[in-house]
Amino acid sequence: MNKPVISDVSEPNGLHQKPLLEVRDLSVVFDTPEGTVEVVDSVSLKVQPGRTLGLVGESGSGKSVTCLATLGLLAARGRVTGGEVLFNDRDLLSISEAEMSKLRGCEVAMVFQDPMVSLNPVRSIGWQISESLILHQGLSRDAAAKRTIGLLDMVGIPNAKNRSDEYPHQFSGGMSQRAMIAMAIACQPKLLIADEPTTALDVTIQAQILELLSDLKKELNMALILITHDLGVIAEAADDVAVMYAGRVVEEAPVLELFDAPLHHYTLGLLNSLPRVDRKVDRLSAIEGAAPPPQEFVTGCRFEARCGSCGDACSGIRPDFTEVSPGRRVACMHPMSIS
Amino acid sequence: MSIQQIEPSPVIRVRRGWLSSRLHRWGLGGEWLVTIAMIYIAFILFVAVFGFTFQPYPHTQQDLFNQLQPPVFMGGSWEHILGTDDLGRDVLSRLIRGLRLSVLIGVVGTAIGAILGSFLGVVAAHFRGWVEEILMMLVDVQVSLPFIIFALAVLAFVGNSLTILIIVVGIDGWERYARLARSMVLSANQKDYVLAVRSLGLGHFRIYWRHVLPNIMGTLIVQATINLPGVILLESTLSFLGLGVQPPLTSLGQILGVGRDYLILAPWIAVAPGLVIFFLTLSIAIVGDWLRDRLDPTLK
Amino acid sequence: MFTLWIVVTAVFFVLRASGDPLLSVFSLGTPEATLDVFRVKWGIDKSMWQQYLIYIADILQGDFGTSFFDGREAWDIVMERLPKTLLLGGTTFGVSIVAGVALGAFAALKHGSMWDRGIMTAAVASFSMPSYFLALLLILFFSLKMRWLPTAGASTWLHLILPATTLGLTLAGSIARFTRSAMLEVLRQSYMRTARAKGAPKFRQIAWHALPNAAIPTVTVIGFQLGWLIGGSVVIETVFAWPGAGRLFITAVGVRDFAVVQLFILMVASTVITANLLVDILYGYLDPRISVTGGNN
Repeated sequence: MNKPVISDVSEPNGLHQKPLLEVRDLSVVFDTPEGTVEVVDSVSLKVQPGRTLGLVGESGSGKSVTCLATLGLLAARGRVTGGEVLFNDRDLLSISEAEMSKLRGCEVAMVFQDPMVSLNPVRSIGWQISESLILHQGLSRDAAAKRTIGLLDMVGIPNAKNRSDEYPHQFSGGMSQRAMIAMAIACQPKLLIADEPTTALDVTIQAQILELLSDLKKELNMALILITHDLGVIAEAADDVAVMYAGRVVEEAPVLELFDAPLHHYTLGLLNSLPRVDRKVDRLSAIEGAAPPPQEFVTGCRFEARCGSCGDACSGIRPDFTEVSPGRRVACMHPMSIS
Repeated sequence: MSIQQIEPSPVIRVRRGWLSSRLHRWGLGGEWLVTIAMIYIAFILFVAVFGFTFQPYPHTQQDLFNQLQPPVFMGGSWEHILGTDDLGRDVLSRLIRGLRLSVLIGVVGTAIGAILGSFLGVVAAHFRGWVEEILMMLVDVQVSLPFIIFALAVLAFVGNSLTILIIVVGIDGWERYARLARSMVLSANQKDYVLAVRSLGLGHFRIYWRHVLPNIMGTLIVQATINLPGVILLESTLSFLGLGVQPPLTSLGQILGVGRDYLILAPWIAVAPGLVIFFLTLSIAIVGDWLRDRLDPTLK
Repeated sequence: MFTLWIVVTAVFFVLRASGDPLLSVFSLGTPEATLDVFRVKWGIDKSMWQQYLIYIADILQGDFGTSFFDGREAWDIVMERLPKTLLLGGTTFGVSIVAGVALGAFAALKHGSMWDRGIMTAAVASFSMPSYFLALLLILFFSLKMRWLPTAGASTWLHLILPATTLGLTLAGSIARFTRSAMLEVLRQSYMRTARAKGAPKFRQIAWHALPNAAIPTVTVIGFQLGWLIGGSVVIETVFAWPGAGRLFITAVGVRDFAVVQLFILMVASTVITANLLVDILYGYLDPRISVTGGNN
């Protein structure tokens, strides 16, 4: 199996460090008119300082919800029903909204999927970026404005001084996303969560944005959670990967090992369905069936219906994690063997 | 604490009575307010149409020995349940009679306005060019003047017959139908289904009548329910001011107008019709809102 | 401007269509000769078209005609009464906007709660209520029963309370409704989540992010309510015997005083048109996506 080219490999094992963010057994439900639905089921994640965690899964797997929950940004219908989110030894789920506000944008920041609708249309870009600076660092209006221009420069927006006074509708998709990123890193957060930052953009812009994120990460010594459904993005930008399916984490591994030797059948299916440049295939392989919606989540292994290699033990019991090696776990009764 | 699975809580099983399930089928399950409003409207309509059969007294019958009697719950007698007015006429009877006229004027007026306004809108959208220009200009003129002022001027100067009143009152808000109809027809004319039918050679009138109109009808009807309370209020205001329905005809607003002079002595003369009007317009507004939510939740 | 001209013309002809104004001034037995004198004096002996042209010419010179009743210049008569109307209207408008916007925003923030439903039901009730009925109810309670507030005239500021409240409640009701729906729409937007993710405290999110966006459609609506306010004040002034221009209009209409009626309508129309223009400009200012120079409509 060919190894995809990975451009940036930092220390393969930053694992002896204390994790910057640790999510433990987080569960989230949504209260809908039809009843309460669980969308995230006991998810645990670790993010090491200065490293990128790629969170991959299809729509509905709960990856976005997990991250929104860690920052307390769930929509009104969402509720956390269990677990802890440890950031610098504080459980983010138990602190007050006021304290959370101080953290957001300052130590942990988030960038969203569609920048065109995520920016306030009636405020200039400069104003919106300066707002972070004024809020968290107490800068004066002028000082903030100057820094804003510097930030816009840093994210690669040409003619930063003039563009700072422009409004979101005057920016293109790629530019808006850069502006959003500038806004997020304004206070040099230790952790940046990027929720599908490139999905709404053209492919050519995608690469630029990923490169930007990677540069910023190095410059600011920032950890990054990169949420995506695109394995190509993972290959390009992630250091560690967590694969989510139907509200649960099914596999975790450093990126090279994941692509080299996936352990979970879902991961294998995902990798197999990638188009390949190196050999000819008649048909793209796909995983049969479709991911279940949250209302249909079962207690046992949720991939069982589509998995080709399950046995009797698979249904009915939730598969526990098997720790294969440090930083490498899989939740499967019959994982692939390691070569 | 990890929860493996939360079963979607079963929809609460309520043992529903017959009435409740009927209501639920019409999407009214949780909406008791709308239901009450509908019942009230139905009641009013019933009284408007059949009221004269159980009206206790002829509404013009004067009884000068019994002037300004209070209603039965304020110390009066059961002979005049809602009391009497300054000429001894039974308030309840006058109310029933007045209601009939108010409802008539309101409904007919709204219909006139809706049809006229929509028609103009369709015409403007069809012919474009100077026809449309003129219509838009008329709309601008209408918008620049609060309707009641316009109505007062017309009624005072042109005349006060019932026909004129109904027409004037009905025209209130015509420009909304015209605008709506025009923009909907304009966009409908671009739609493929109309182009297809037109290419088959169907005449214009038929196209509008059978293809375009049914589609825009819903929005226009919703607009009518929005306008109806306004029309009723307008008529009652004009009558209150003495420039609407003239005696011996009586409408709710007119009774109120009379009642104003006797506010201290006999407040019921004014309060009774006022409450009737208020609840009527309120009910129509509530039902209209509900209707709008049902037909097109994207409309606001 | 053009619209205004149409309004004036239309009104002119409609009014003239009503018949001889003399009949309402003079009793039936007056000799023709006397009537003729007045006809000449008031210029109604000429044909309609001539009258019209003279009228327009006069207006352009600032002469709005003479009242049939008073004998004075229509302009003076109206101007005399205008301040009172402005006082009532202005106060009402100001208070309603503040109250309406505050209540509407509050309802939106507490969406779905009892507060929300309560405020909305009250709002719907307030504009379903005939304003004159509300006026009577308030009079009944506050003046006659409780004797707290006066009912007629405009001598003290106490006199202002009842009429302003009557008009104001209805106006505040519709403003609240619109503000609420505008706010709800805004609160759903992604950029509100971004503001929250930035660490903006709740107050800031609302004041600096939500409201400026919600203000845009709200301002438009408020501008349109001005026309309604003028119409309503005509009625309310009558009920409360408030000596303003609205009441003047009612009396003038009752006696078919051309000059005053025409002038009044002219003024109302120009006010509404100006207000709409202002709203357009304000809209362009508030929403950077609209270019004011690009023109609208």
